[in-house]
Amino acid sequence: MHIAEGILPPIQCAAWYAASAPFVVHGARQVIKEVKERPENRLLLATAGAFTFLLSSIKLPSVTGSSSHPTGTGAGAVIFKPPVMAFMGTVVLIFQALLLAHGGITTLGANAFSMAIVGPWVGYAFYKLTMKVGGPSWLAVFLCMVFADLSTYCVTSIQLALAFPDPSSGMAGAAAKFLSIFAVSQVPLAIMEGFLGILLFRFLVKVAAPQLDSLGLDLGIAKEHAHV
Amino acid sequence: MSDVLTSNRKWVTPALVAAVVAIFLACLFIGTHAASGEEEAFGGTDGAATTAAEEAGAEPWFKPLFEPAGEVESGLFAMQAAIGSGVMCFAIGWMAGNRRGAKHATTTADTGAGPDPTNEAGNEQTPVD
Repeated sequence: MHIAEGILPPIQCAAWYAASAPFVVHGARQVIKEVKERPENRLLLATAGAFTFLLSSIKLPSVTGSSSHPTGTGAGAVIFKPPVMAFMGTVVLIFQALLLAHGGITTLGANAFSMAIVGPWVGYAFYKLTMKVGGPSWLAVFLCMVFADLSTYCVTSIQLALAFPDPSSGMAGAAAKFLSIFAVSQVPLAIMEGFLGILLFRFLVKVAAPQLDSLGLDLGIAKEHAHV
Repeated sequence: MSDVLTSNRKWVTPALVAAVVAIFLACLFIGTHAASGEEEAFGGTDGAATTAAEEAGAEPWFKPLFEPAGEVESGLFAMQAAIGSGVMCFAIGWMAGNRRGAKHATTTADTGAGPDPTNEAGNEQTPVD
């Protein structure tokens, strides 16, 4: 979710910039490192970024009669780990803020925090957790995409609530109010995103098995390898 | 053990696509019902959140540097989607081509005199130690 230009008070904008900057800088360094150390992964990196670029541009209708955007950050988080997505997600946000008036430059810090930082980390956590308890890899990918998406919107609701607490019910009340705008609407979109993530990985497992392997991902591709 | 991710069954990918389409259509259908009272059906939640924020006291202090008109905005979003899918499909296609080339090279090496790099399950004739 993108908080529109100029909506957050200047001090909070600055605060979110400060919060996001270290992650984005680290992410940029990771991307450069990845490209230098493993140039064979460049296309995969491009795919992860392009997936986010693509998904966040599509407005999908939802059951509540409103529409919203998915995020697509889960996929890159799984393949390259979340720091890389901090950078790539921010690039997408800058593009959308400058060319589409979607999101904003003042709110870039806040939007980066929700979509490029928290989203990927939460998604990654769900992926790792599912794999750890022995769940199937498709479920790990699915949950990763779904919760990367949902957590992004939760963080946005909290950010708005921090800026505009309700006079009577305080921040909690405001958070609940903002969440109610997003929560139900976002669920079907998140689920769609989950399926799209599985589809993407089906292709990647087939065409990028060596690269995924070199990145330490075990999505059952070891079996594919053996049957080459 | 065939996983959804690695399954080679032909129906898996179409089924996944069908699932996405089904959810999309369900949203469209249920959503139209839900939005039947509003002026603009399927308004964005981003806009709704901005309105809620403004009602709660937000005073926009900065305007976007460039604000495209309605139709232009759709066009630009379409372009973003096109660039994203273009890059993605190019990358996946290229990697698929590489894979194919590698497989081809391996099979040619197999029929040649080279050592078998894909020693399947060790039931090939391996030299006795």
